[in-house]
Amino acid sequence: MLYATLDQKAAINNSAVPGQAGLADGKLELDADDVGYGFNLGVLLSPWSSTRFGLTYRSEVELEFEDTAKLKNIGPVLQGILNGSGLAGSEVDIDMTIPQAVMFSAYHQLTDRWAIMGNIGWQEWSAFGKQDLTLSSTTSTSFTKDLGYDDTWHFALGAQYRFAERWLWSVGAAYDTSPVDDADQNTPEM
Amino acid sequence: MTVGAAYEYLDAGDAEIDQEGGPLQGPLKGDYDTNAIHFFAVNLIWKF
Repeated sequence: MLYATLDQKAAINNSAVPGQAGLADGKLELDADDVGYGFNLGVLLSPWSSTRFGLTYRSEVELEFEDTAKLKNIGPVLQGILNGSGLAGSEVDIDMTIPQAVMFSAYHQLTDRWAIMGNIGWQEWSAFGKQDLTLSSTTSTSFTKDLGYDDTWHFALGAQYRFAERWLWSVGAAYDTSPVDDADQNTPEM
Repeated sequence: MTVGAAYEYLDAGDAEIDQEGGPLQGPLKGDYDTNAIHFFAVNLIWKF
């Protein structure tokens, strides 16, 4: 079960609208929350006493945020356009997906003191990058904003050293590929 | 009972933002190049 909140504030450039030159920025606010559901599955195999292999799957979780956009300090011309198109006071519906993920892992006990381990994982961030936005007023307008995210890969290696009977050192490093390639894909949320 | 302590350093790379936006939103540009997270954790396993 995943509880998520969305708190989004955006400045509206009033002065870009003809007839509103010199007006200060307006503001758009969205504030919503939702509960999504998902599941985890995993198997652990131990073909030899010193070796274990694991495979885990985490399902995607769908989230739907609903709110009426709150607009403040909107200039009269833009307010007229919003009123005329029925967009003022319309319900905003934002759907997003927390990505599904698969992880393969291996563990091997080399000696009484040393063990090594590693992971390879995949996460479907391209699904998170596709956000559905629906504006409901007298008519309903729906479109998908594709942020163009890539799926990501995760690689990790680790080692454990038991330097005394009751003491264990663990050390490791991981590398994740990026879901974004360029600065024009980066958003402040990331 | 097993007690553990862990430290993790996450280097999230640079975060250069260069969004065009639309006529109302306007462009958004910036560079936030110190993107690191330090994790300190203490964990406790109690078998009963």
